[in-house]
Amino acid sequence: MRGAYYLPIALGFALVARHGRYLPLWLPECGMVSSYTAYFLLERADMPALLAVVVALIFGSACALVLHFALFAGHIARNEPFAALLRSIGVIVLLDNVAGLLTGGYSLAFTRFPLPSNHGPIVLGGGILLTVILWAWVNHTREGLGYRSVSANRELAIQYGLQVSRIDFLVVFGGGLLCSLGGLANGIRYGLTAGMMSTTGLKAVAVVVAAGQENLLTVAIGVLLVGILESLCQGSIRFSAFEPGISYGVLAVGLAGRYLLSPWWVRRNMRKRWRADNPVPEVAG
Amino acid sequence: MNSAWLDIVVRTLLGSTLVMAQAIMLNWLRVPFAAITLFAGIAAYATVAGVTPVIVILFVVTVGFLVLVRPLPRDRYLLLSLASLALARSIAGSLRGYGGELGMATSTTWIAAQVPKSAMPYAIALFLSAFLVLLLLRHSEMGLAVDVARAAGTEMHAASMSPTGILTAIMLALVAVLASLTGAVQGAYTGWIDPNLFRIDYAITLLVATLVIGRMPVRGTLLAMSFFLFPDLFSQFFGYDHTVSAHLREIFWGAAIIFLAGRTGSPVRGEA
Repeated sequence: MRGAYYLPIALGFALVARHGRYLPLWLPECGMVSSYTAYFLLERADMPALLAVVVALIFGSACALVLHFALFAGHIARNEPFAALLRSIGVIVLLDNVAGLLTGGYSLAFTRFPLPSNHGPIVLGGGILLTVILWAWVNHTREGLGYRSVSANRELAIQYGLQVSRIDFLVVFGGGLLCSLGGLANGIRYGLTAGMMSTTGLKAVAVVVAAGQENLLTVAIGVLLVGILESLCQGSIRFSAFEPGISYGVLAVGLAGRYLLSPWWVRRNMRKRWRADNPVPEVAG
Repeated sequence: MNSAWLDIVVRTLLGSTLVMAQAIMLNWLRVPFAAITLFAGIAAYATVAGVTPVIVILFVVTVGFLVLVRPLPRDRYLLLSLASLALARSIAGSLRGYGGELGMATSTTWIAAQVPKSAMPYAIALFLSAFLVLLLLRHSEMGLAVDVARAAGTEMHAASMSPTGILTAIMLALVAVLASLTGAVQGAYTGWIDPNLFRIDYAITLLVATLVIGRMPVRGTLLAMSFFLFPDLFSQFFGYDHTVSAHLREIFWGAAIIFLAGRTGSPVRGEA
């Protein structure tokens, strides 16, 4: 079930990463913002649970929009993925430390939001449903076609008159909402700490990068498998130390497959095909 | 000078050495390398595992990072260098012979654990070596070649004027040696090794410091030292809790990265 808690974060990240053609490492932090907001509204301001959750999700998504348009939209327009990644790291460091300062470094837990006993199947079912809806939206709707067009070639999409700013808004809001949802689910399940999303988010990011952000279904399956493997490792004394490293192992294998082995495999096949098409003429005598 | 201040000085010198070593790869050569603590952490295990196996592992890791420089996009390379820390942490945690996840005490004859005076000469020597390398990169002909190699990432003409691959290999080897020696001294001085040596959040903290110091040897060195000195000095003079001071430091430096990464011609943007 653990993978189900990573799933919304991975989906949100994949959506925004494909759209902006960079790694928005900062996006999972919206989950932390959302979690802490829900905590303060519920536990300190005594707001009704449902209202607190809705306000927290909207606040997390609004935070994603503000950060995107204030800090990252320019990098996307200028196609600067590395500068955007460095800025993402700055945002993570800033937000994590602000949260650490505000809470004195202590962990927090929701006391007025008890988990239902069947929370696992609910989160898993919700995650699978979200994946299917998102996959259908991206691949089989008119808006999804616009999203794919902007992701493939932003300049061309602008020239063809697509409403790029509207798509930007929708995608970042959607990605922020998914990460807020994931952050809130993680916060309710595992408690709140200042660096809660930098660790969990990085795990989800690792799987997305390994699977490829354009393959939502592969990302979902990968995240769920990582969750299963982590649970198996945690249950074994011998392999428990490997639990935090599984997703990064997947990342290393995925990157090696994509950037080291894949070109070699492609070249080998091309050479074979060329040889088949151009047989060496036999020399007489 | 009392022992507490000497301890601060030793930790500052060792931390600054790691930042300066990482700056050679990241700021001078534009290789998005963020795993300096991987070399330091592996070398710290040499204090209990012996020198030979650790050297072999360090060599393999160095070659691995070198091979990946060209094929991987820069953002993926940075992510992979951070991921390598998590993998190393898992592997170190599984080594029951070396204390597993709890770690174990180190004992060396050359540095007494938690005795700053015994570690001070090594810390000063390593710090000065790193500073000297930065000065040479700034003022020597080889430094000029490194500048051209950095430009080769974006300029086609520059690529033909400098042996980028060889320079990257030399610099990575140099960085690996500096970081490994620093890690070994850190391991011997703290008197304890555990998988927390490979924490990603510490690597990110060092990455932030590395990005801010840019490519100015003197100013960069002073900035790196101030980064490590700040929490201790702030808590000593203003009575703040050390953890609060560290949070304030990282908020300030995180904001600096956000600001600098968006500025044209800034040291951080220059790396991008």
